[in-house]
Amino acid sequence: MIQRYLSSVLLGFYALFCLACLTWSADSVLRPLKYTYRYLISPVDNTLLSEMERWGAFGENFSRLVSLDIRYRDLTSEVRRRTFSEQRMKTLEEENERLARLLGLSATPDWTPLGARVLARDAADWFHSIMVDRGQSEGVRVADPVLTFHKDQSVLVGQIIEASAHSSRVLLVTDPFSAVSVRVPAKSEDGVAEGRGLGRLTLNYLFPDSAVQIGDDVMTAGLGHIFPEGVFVGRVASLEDVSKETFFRRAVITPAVRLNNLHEVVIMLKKVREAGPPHLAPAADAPAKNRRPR
Amino acid sequence: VRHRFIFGLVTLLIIWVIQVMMISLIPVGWPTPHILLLVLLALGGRGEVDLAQSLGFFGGLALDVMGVSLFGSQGLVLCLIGFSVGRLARQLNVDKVMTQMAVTGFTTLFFWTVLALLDHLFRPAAPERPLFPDIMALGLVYNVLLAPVGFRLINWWWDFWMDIEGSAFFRSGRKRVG
Repeated sequence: MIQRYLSSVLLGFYALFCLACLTWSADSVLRPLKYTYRYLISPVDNTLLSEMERWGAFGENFSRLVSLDIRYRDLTSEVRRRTFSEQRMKTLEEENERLARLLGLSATPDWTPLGARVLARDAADWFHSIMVDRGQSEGVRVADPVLTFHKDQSVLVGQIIEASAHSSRVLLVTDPFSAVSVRVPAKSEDGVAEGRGLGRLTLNYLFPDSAVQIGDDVMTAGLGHIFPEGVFVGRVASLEDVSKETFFRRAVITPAVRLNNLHEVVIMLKKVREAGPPHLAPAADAPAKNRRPR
Repeated sequence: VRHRFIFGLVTLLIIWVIQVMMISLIPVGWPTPHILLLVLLALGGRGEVDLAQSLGFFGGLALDVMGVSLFGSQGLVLCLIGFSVGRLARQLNVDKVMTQMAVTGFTTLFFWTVLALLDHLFRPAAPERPLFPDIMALGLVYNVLLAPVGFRLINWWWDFWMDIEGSAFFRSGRKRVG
């Protein structure tokens, strides 16, 4: 009897189990299971990727060896130049901090970079995410921005959406759930870059008379201190006509790096620096007790 | 039962390895062929209802755990597909290449539709997920074009296991149990 209806019984059991998980938001309950599973599969993923990387890089290694010496000489002079720039930047940063404190400006985040290795990518193409080998134990938190470096320039990769003890999941900027406030520095125009799949982004909310052109660089605007300011997002690849529904123009952005080739990324850990109280002249809207008696 | 259990387990492991390797080769954001779906259809087409739906259930849950999709959503859809194709195996007659492609195309569309519906129903707080026809069309083409190869490979894989079942190793095992 059971043998006859086994298929239907099994289907009923499976469907009920899945529906129960969906109804009671099993995602949050099963998070430890997800993390355990990822912990178990991480080494396998890592081995597979490193093996593929090793075989893929075999041909390049020889030419790299030849150009290594030339690169070394260039870098040595570059380091000398950068040491001077760094010194100057440090002085300017201190000055900036001092002035901000004098004016009583709001707290600004202090970004601490943390290197991470890419362990795996999303199994299905429904979401665009990667998994990295740094987690809460290293100070990673949800919403921390993730960057990479390409041609000596910091490039935006995405944002942490899940952080477990020793690994985290990064939602890539190309995912349709991703939205970043951006700026086109050449034209001083702001907009929102949203993922649209196929390795592209859309630059939304440009005015109809926008001067943005194909080839313009797009950087993060740093609004709300969610992402650091001035990080390279991509380049305008094409422009679309004014939307009849929103009356805004849109542009298609090609990301600055090929996100499928990522092997190492940098997670920017956010530490909010408290702004000190104003030391000299109180601001116009400061409380009365801080003002000098007349 | 034991033989099918081992077959399902080994097949699931192979699918997982292929899927992980494949997503590392195809650019992010580009569609990938749904290997698990093709395997389910091929097994269902052979009339293996229990195996197809169980593989869909466990494989789907594994994909849910690996990805960001809601836990249970892919498990449910793939299990339903495995069961339906298995039950309709005789009427469908998936030996013909055109039928294989048609069934794969239809089930791929069904998979996306139900997944989007479940996402809409059980993730109300999240913003509406936009659908990109170009990506979906490419994914559909991948699956449909790979269907004849996938069906043939699975048939070969099944026959290989049947040969093993008939070998001395399994026969001796049965004798010991008996």
